[in-house]
Amino acid sequence: MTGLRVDGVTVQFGATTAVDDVSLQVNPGEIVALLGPSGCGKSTLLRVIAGLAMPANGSVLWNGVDLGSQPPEARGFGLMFQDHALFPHRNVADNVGFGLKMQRKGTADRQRRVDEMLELVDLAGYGPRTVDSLSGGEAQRVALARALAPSPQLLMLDEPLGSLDRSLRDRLAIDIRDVLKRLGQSAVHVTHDQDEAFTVADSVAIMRAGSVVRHGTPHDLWNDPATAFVADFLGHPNILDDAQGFGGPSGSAVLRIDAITFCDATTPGAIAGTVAAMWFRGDHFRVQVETTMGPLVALSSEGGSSASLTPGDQVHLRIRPDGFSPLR
Amino acid sequence: MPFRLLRGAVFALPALFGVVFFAYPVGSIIARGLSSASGDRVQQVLSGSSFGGIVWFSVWQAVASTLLTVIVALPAAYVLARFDIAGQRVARALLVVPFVLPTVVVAGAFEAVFTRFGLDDGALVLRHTPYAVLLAHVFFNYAVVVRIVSTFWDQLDQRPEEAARVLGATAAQTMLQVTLPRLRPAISSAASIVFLFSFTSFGVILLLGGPRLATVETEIWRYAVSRTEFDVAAALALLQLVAVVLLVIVTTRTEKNRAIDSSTVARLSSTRPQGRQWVLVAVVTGSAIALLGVPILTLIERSLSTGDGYGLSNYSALADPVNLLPVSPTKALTNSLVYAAIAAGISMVVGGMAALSMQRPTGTGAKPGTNRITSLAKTGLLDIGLTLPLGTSAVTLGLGILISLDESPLDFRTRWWIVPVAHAIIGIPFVLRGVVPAIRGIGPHLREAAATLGASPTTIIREIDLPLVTRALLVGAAFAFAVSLGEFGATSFVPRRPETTTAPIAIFRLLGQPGDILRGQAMALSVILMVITALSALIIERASGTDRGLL
Amino acid sequence: MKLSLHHLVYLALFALIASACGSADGDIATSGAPASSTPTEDTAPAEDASEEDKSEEDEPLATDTPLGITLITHDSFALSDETLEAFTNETGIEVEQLASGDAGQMVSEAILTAGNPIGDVMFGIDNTFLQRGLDAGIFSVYESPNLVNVPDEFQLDPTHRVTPIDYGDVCANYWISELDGPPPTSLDDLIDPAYADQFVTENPETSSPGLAFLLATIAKYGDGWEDYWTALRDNGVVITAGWEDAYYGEFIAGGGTRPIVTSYASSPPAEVIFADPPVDTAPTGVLLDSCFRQIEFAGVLEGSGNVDAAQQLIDFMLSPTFQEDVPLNMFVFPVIENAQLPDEFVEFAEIAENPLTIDPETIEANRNAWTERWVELVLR
Repeated sequence: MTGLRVDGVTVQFGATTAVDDVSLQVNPGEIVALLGPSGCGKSTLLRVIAGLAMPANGSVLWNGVDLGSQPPEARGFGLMFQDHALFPHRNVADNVGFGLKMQRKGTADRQRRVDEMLELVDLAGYGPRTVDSLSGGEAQRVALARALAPSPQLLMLDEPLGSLDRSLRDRLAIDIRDVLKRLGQSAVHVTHDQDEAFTVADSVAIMRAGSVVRHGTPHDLWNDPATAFVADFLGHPNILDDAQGFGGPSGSAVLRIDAITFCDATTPGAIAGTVAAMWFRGDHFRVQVETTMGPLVALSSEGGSSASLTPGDQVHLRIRPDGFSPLR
Repeated sequence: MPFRLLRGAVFALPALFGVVFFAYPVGSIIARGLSSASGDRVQQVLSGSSFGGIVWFSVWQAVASTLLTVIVALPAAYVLARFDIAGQRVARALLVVPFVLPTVVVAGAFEAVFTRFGLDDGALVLRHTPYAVLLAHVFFNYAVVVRIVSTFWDQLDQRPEEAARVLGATAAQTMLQVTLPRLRPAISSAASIVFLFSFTSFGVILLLGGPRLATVETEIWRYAVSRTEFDVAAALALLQLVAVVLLVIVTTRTEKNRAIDSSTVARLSSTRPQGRQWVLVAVVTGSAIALLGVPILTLIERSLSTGDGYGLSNYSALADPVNLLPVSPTKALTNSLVYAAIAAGISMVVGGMAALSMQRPTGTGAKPGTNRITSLAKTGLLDIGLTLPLGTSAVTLGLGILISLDESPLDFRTRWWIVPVAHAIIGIPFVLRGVVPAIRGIGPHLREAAATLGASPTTIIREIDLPLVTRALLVGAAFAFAVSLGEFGATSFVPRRPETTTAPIAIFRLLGQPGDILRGQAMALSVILMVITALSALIIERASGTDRGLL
Repeated sequence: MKLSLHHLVYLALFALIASACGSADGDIATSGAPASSTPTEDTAPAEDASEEDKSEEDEPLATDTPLGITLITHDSFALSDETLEAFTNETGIEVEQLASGDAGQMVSEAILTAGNPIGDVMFGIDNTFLQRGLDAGIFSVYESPNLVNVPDEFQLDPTHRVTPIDYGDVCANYWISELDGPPPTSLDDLIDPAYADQFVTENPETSSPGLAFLLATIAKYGDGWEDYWTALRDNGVVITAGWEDAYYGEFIAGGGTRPIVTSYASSPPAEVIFADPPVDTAPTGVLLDSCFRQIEFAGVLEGSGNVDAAQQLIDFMLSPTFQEDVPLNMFVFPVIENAQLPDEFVEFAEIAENPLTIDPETIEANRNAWTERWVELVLR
């Protein structure tokens, strides 16, 4: 039981290389997110794993066995689409039961499993509904239930929440992780949303222009993004060309925003600056401060002393030395 | 690899059908004609002073018929697609009726209408003019445009229209700039059928157009049958074929280039018309009744007219054997129905398989390049090849079958089933033109979802493709059924046994001798044929209506 | 590799279809149809009867079927059920019929399938098409002994490749009660202004009676026919594509407005037989001066696999049983002198004493030129 192994996979469309020599490991029970901007090749990689596309080079192995040109229906992998791809001519129960029917499960077994799955995604009793009567969130849950019903060895989710609104997205992301973890389901989750990837996945592989540039736990990635691209993509606002002036290592580094706090002028090591701009973010402000060594972005909490800042104010910042992470 | 085999069969069976029953016969007759050609004579005809005019008129009347039919039929398609009106289903079924009527009968009805409204002579003359031809072509083809376009329209996501309205477009602007372009695949499908039908129209030209009008089609007949100058006929047939091939290439290309909206989107259910919309409904209904209803009512009136006023004696007489007919009228009707069922069945199977083989190739990165291109070329050839019969002279195909399918193992020309097969050849394009847009409209994700859920390609066809195209398939089959009931195409050139006489042939024979009784019975038989057609269409309509599918 | 797989698929399907057709063949039991299934390329027809029989034996399903022949006719062919049964009872020969369009189409098809015909005997080629068929060599010679009962005037082919079976006259008909004045009595009357805008006839290029009427005018006026038609045109003649739209469209009978039409001498009896309500006298009359005689022939087709049976059928067509059944089914007259005519024919049908005729060779030699000229004169 070694799970999924992608080994040096390359996919070409004519002259363009969509996926370039990618290797990836998904351990049993692990949820791996493929995170990257649109067009980075993550969906193509997913299609290669699913057997919907064939690589020009490289191989996909499951538990050590090369899947070769095995067709998608023989791989026992599940796939959930962004547009949910529910069959418009079948009701909810028939959609969920489709994979079981393909496995030639009996009607009673099927019925039981469909009910179980609908229960799992909080849609008990929705079986007889038609597909076009579902809301976006409901359709997505039905799609999840459909993908999970045949107990796939590996579940792939292709931007499953892409078409939903923010709050629904946050909630469903938690639900999906909850459901997958309860089932101990191995999964590959493709998304361009860093929050979603961090919420759902055990580990995150970041892709750029057809290659995986970084693969690690959300915590490791956040604390050590390693490249300016990753740091920027993950949303770090303070990417410094030279960190030495702020008390960090020499050379380029990322400074985590949580390592910067507002302080008095008297605090040892305080850096003086002027407030240049502020953005309200609900439970906090982001404050851009111009210092003599360049701009920094800091957090200001609503109830704190810095809450009444306005642009032009003189402030002082303190930087925790462990907030730096060098970039390579 | 059973799927490889299936995939091969899905392409090969329709291809084989097209080759054996169309390409080979037509190729044989043209080759035979041209091989005996005296170049001088052919050249003399083709460069003759009247020939340019004949080609011009052939194209002109077909283009005008097509435009006119589309213009007249689009509002009706809109009404049927967007509104929920009582009796809609019956109206849809009735539309197909003109399709099965023998041209002789229709021409007679039109002549009677012209006489009644003073259009036979006087200030405005329609009788024996090109305008009578156009009118009759609209009469015959109205249903083609209405049915194909309304079926497609019905499936169209309305959100782009709503977006346009929100952006400030008026209803008319939205219609012209958003809806019509999106309808183009369906309109071009339907229009190409109407064009081909009008281009190869025979009876309408001769009977309603009068003796002065000639088209390439009537000239092929004249040279092949009346003058037995097979070389000239073959040259004309070749010319016709080339013209039709070009047209079909152009239209199938427009269909292909227009990607069809992925149809997984929600659509709004039809609503009851409100306010001014009732005016539109009334205008559409009124014009349909004027166009289709008046000639048909004339026919019904004639069938009820007897020596002493009105009555049903013409109908009751049909129960008895008629001297001039080799079979009883009831038997002729049965024959017609059996043939139509077989022809519709063949059309569905062959046309459906061909359409399946033309589904949009999924964007797998697998082996790009030549392979996919050859496969596209192959299916393109199939698409064109199976649409072509609609634009091929009945003379060419009929005589081709006679001289080519004459030896073992293809000794089919006197088999009874060659008649429904020939009907099916004309029916297949209807299925194809209806189903190809539908099958291309199925989002690739649906198939991929099914595949990852464990469905094999064969199962995907059964579980996804077929259910989703059922409606389009049945609409096509309804036309194929009507085509066969109406005895379109090459079958008049295929020799047949008296006991297989069909209703249209019986009607024609009843009209072959003087006498009020015979004429009355011919009209009664025509009306019964119409009623049977309407009922069959209604049954097919119901079958497709129960399907909640999108297409 | 890929290519061969595809080929395999095609071959398999082909075999499947071929075998399906083969078995369908047996189910429908189309009674032999030997002419169409006999190979003719390697064995000259009628050269060796036993050879022919042998190839019959090879047909697995043909061995038990009774001896059968196929009769090709035009669409207007009709007989009473008993008539052909009588022939089968008499000779043991089953006759299968195949109808194939009008006479012109039937002849065209026979010319195209010459050598490998779809049947054994053709019925219905008339004197306007006769020479075309003879020139194409589609008939084999047979002189029926029953020809002794047929007057010489009908025997247009001295070498007996075809045998006359029936005849009828194509003449102008008029609706008696709708004429303003007296009925026309001659072709000349039709160009008389007194009969202006009253006559409808058919296009000789698309209609058999239309051609017959044109030939009548040529027979009558010789080179003057062109002037006659110019005059006819000036007198308001209407041309239709076929008999149906002339008789039922323009003529009074079908609700039209014209009282004179080109039809058949047998049309008045048909108007009586199929009248509704029944009538005692025919509503139409025949302009006997305009009648062109059409004689219909039958012949054994070259390439028939069953010449002997085919010849027996020709003999039967000249028997009183067949000849007397012809009038009420096809509204034509029997050619044998001793045939009894039905009452309606005796009473209402008129036969022109001196019908107009042109010999088949002259017709064939000039037909295309005449019709072309006619088009120029009348339609342009």
